[in-house]
This record gives sequence, C-alpha cells and structure tokens, in this order.
Amino acid sequence: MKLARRHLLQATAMAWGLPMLARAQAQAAMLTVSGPGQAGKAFDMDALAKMPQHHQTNETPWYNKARKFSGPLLRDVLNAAAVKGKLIRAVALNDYRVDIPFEDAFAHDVIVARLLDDQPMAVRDKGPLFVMYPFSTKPELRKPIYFSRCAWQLKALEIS
Amino acid sequence: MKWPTRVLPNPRLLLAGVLLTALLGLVAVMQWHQGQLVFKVMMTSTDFGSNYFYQAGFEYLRLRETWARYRAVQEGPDKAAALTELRTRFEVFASRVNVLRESNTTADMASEDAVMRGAITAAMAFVSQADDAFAAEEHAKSGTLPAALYEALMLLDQPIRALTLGATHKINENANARVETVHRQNRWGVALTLFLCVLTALFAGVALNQLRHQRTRQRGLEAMAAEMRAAQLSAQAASQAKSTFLANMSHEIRTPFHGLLGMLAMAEKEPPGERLSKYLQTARASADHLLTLLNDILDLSRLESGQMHLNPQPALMSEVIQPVTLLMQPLAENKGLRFALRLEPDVPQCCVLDTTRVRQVVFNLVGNAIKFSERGQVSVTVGLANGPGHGWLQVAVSDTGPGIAPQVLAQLFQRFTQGDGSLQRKHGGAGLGLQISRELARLMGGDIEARSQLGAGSVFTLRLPLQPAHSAQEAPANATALSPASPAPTALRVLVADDNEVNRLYMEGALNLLQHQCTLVDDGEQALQAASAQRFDVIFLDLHMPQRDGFSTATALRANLAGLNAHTPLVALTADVFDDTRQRCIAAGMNAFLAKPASPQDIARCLAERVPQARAQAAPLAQPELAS
Repeated sequence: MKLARRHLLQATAMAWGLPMLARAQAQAAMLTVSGPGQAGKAFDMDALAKMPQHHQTNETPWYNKARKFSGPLLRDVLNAAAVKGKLIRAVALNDYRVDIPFEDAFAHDVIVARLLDDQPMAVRDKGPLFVMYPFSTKPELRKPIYFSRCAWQLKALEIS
Repeated sequence: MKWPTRVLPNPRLLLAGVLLTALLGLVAVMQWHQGQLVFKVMMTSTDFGSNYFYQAGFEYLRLRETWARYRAVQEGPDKAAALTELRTRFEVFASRVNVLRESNTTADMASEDAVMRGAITAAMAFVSQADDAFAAEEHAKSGTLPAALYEALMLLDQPIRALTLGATHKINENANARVETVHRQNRWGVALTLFLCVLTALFAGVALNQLRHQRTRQRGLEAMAAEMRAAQLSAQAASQAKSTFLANMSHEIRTPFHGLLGMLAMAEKEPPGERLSKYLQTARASADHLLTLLNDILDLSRLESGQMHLNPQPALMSEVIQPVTLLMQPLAENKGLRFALRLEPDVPQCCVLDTTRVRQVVFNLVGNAIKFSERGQVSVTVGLANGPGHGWLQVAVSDTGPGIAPQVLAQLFQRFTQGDGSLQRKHGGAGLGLQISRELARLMGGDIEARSQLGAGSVFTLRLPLQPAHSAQEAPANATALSPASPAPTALRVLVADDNEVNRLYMEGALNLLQHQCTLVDDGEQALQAASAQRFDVIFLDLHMPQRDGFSTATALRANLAGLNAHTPLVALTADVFDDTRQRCIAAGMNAFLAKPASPQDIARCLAERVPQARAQAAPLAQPELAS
C-alpha cells in the first residue's frame, strides 16, 4: 500500500515535473516503421492518435489486474507506412527485440497501444507505446509466445 | 420358420454397456482434469517471470554504466547529452522495477522469498530517492545529482544480484516440481489405462458370454427346427404308411370275407350232405384266416404302442417245440416237403420264456418256409450260441425255397414286404408276420436274422437270451393243468349279459353245446336283477351295454358283499382287446377276459381256468390254439 501510494506520487511528480521532456517526446518521432527497400515512415503521437482507435481491456502478466489499452491497429500502422514483408521486428527503448509474424497483424486485432487506462504511458509505465494482442477476446492467445511479442517501450518496427 | 424381426437388447449387456460408457466418461473427465493440472504446471509463468528479474538486473548494470559515464563527462554539451541518456536508462530501470512490483508472476515468485521481497523494496526505494533528486531544485538549476544517489545505486548491487539468483533458484524448483508432476501424471495415466484395460476385458467377457448364450440358444432353436422338420417328415411317412396299410388290409380282409360269404351263400341252398359240409369247412377256414389277420393287426398295434406285455415263465423246451412238429409237419407233407425238427442235446431242459410268443414267432418262420418252398425240405434246429455276457437260445429255420435277393433281404422285415412282387399273388398273406416276429424277438431281448442266396434257399435264425430255469419245480403248473385226472363234468349255471342278440344266440348255442345251463339278459341292470335272484357259477359280461355297462355291473356285484354272486367268477366278453381295457376289467373286480370272437373251445378253456368243475369238459374239447 505504502509502495503504491509512493508510486502514485512519483507518477504525478513526473507528469508535473517533467513537462518539457514529455512534450519533447510527444513532438519527436515516437515510432519509426521501416522496411528493406521501402521508404517507411515515422509516426509521432498525434499521427497515431488521429488513426482509428481501438480498445482492449486485458489481463496480462505485467499487471496484477485488467487494464485498458487503447491505440491504432498494428495493420493500420503498417498500411499507413506502406510496408510489406514476412516479419516485423519490434524494437524497444530498452533494446528488447522480438519478431512478430507479419500475418499476426492481419489475423488478430493487434494494436499499438498508446494509452493505458486512457492515460499516456510514461517510459517507466512501459510507454510510450505497447504492442498488445487481444487476450481478452481471444483467450487462445494467452501463451508465452504471444506475451513475448507484446513489446513495450516500443520505438521501432523493422519489416523484413 | 419366422424369426422375430426386432431383437430386444439383453438387459445385462445393456447395463454393462451403460456402466462402461459412464466409467469411460468418468475417466475422460479425470484425464481432462489431470491435463488441466499439467497445463497449469507447465504454463507456470516462472520462466516468463524470471525473465523480468534478469531484465531488471541487466537494466541495473546499464544504468550503472551510463551513470559512471555521466560522472566522467566534463561539464558542457556532452554532459547534457549524457544526462538525457542517464534519464532514459533510469526510466527504463524504473519501468523494470515497476514490473517486478506490479506483475502477478514476479510477485508470486518473490512472495515466498524474504530476500527477494527486500531487494524489490530496496530497488523501489532507490527509484523513489532518484525521483526526488531529479525533481530537486538543485538539479533543475545545475543539472547535478547528489553523490549519495550514486552510492545508493552502487549499494543496490547486492539486492539486484539476490533477485537474479532467487529467480534462478525458483526456475530450478519449478522445473523439479514439473518433473514430479509429470511423473505423477504419468503414473495416473498408466493406472487409468490399466483400469480401462480391466474394464474392457470385463465388458468383452460379458459380451462373449452373451454371444455364447445366444449361439447356444440359436443352436437349440435350429436343432428344434430340425427335430420338427424330422417329426413332420416322420408324421407324413407314418400317415403314408397307415394309408398303405389300410389299403392293403382292406384288400387282405376282403379276400377271406369273399370266401366266407360266398361259401355261406352256397351253403344256404345246399341240402345237408358232403358238399354242404365242404362249403361250411371252407367258410370256416376263411373266417379263421380273417381272425388270424385281425390278430396280427392287433399284435402289431400293441407292439407299436408298447402295450405288448410278455409273460415269461419256466417252460420245458420239449413242450414249447412239440406243437411245431405236430402242426407244421402235416402242412409240409401236404406240399410234398420233408420236415425235420432237431432239439440239440446241449439245450437246457427247462428255460424261462414266454411260450406263446416264442411259438408264435417259430410258427411264423416255419409257416413262411413252407409257404415259399415248392420242393425239398424245411428243417428247424433248436440249439445254443455264444453271445457277449450270456448264451443265446437259437432257433434256425432253413428251407430250400427260391431264396431272397440281397436288396429285398434288406427290407424284408418291414411291413407288407414279401420277397417278390410276382410272388405276392401266389402267396397270400398280409405281410405282417415277419415284422411282428422281429419285433417280438426284440421285445424278448433277441433278434431275427435272415441269410439267403437266390436259388439256394434261406435261413431265418431266431435268437433269444438263454435263461435256463434252475429246477424242475419251476416247470409250469399248467403243463399238467389239462391232465385227464380232473373231476367229472358238471353242468354249470351261467349268466350271460350282452345287448347284441346275435352274440346272445351264439353264447347260448356254445354253452348248450358244452352242456351248461344258460341265462341270457340284455344289459347290466337285468344282470344285477338275475344275480340277486339266483346264484351262478360264472357270469359273462359284455363291456359295452346300454343302461349299465360291464364295468359298472362288475363293480356293483362285487360291492354287494352279502349278495348271492359276490364271489362268482366274472368274465369280460368284448371285442376290445387292448391291455388297458384288461386293466380296467381287473380293477372293476372281474376275473377273466374273453376276446370276441370266441370259439366254443375258447369258452371251454376259459371256464376250465376259472371254474374247477368245468375242467374235465375242457380237456377233450381243447385244441391247440393255433390249429387254424
């Protein structure tokens, strides 16, 4: 309890104490999508927010309760970047890398979450972007392989 | 045969099937449950969760490295870039610490481990401390961070190490737990499979048993159907045989009747004299032939219905054989045949046998031999033969007749079979003789065999089990019954009750011939009246009469103990000669049984047997029963 309260204080402090950094992050390219021999595209937060938004409320291994994730569909992002390939390599701020089959984006409503419980995600809350599979509507996805594909602190998608 | 189209399932099999299905369902549920358990164990997020501890450790090291670089960089634009880099690494590290705190999986792993919990708390304390430092006014102004914070970061080394080690231990523990669970599951699986094997075997056993029952039942039904078919065929054959029998018999009976009626018609118009006597003799011969025929039919009927009863008595062999010579020799000589009878010396003097029946068979065999032989001789040899367990008495009758072809020989003992169709006209006869003879022989425990060759005559051999009588005193008393030492003749008072006028007239004539006093009545009631008025020496009762039949009359006479005729010999007089009728007569209190038609000799013999005073008369009149 004590810890939770302190965390809340921290989050408030950060949102309040680091407006410049948050703004800078919002303005800078949040997500780059690139492919071999393809132009690719860089998205900032506004661009992602203008795309059709989808919501999922999922229980995940990373939180002790169901959380609401909101953001555009991964396939919309890929289409917007006009890239095609077989694999999507998701790269995170912490240099986490994972390969997502290209067809996953079309077989499932995978989203690039930018809001957690309708709030922007700080880096320490696994923000700013979080690849999320529809675990609540497709329980069969609740397997380590799909959890491992949920890259958080996402910064780039490399198509190959 | 029509089989039921719908077969109801056997209730036991049905029950077994339902039980097996239920058990299999239960097993499936158990297996599913076990599978879930395995899945749960296998899906334990320890591996997944442990990753976060390692990631946290890794990010801790990167943070330390970045921080060291930041400290080393001199003031200037590089310092600002290094600070930005430090902030990013710190935020990433903070996110890692948050995951450890927030994630179910990591919380589960750390919950049982105080060191791990302590380490997470320490990391969070550091994050909090760093946040405070980043937010401090001093930092905002100068971009510097307190040296104590770096110290604190360095001190976090041990707790972070404890976290990664703890995660490693947890992985090992869980791996061990998984192996054990899988082993346990495996054992359960094997046990379940064995259980299923036993169940299946049991069910198979029940099913096989059922199948066997069904097969047995089916075989039973098939056997029954076959029996029924056989019975049907046999019934048809029997019916056919009866029809043939009737046809033959009506022909056979018609022939002597024709002779009888023809002779009687001529006798009516003939004045007394030698020719009349000749006619009457021929009529008599025809009637006798008819009687023989009827007796044969009766014998056959008794044999077939199992009502023929033997009466074995000790008898002198010489007396059994003697009438054969007496009667058959004249017949043979009439045809110009020689006749020889030889009684072997080793044959016991006295044997136990049914004299009447043995004679009947021998008469038949010898009669046939004479009938079918045109010349040469007929010889009869009475001897012994060895048999299994006991000796045989053997009577061989050989002739010099035409002989019998092998195929005919095979069916010789069947009804209406005569050696040759062409001979049938030549040699009259109902064809019942051999069948009766063989069945009588078999009834007596023996048999008849025939050997023959065409043109070389035939030998018919009667074999009977040899039963020597031990002493002379077993010799029959009736051998001397008709001795001349009987008392003088006496006129008897005889009552005859018969509803048929012809029978009454005949009985009156016969009894008058025998010089007895005769009272005639029409039925049982009149018989009782007559019997109450006078004492009789013997009473003849017809069995079938109106008002009161013979049985009832006999019962009434016997019941009236004070009556004049309570102990008078009662003789049943009837054409109904079956054994059960005899039994009923005895049961009703009658003493004897006289079969119609009865000759005066028969009547005399009957009276002689039942009434002592009549014996003397019987002797001169008595003739051998087979004189016909």
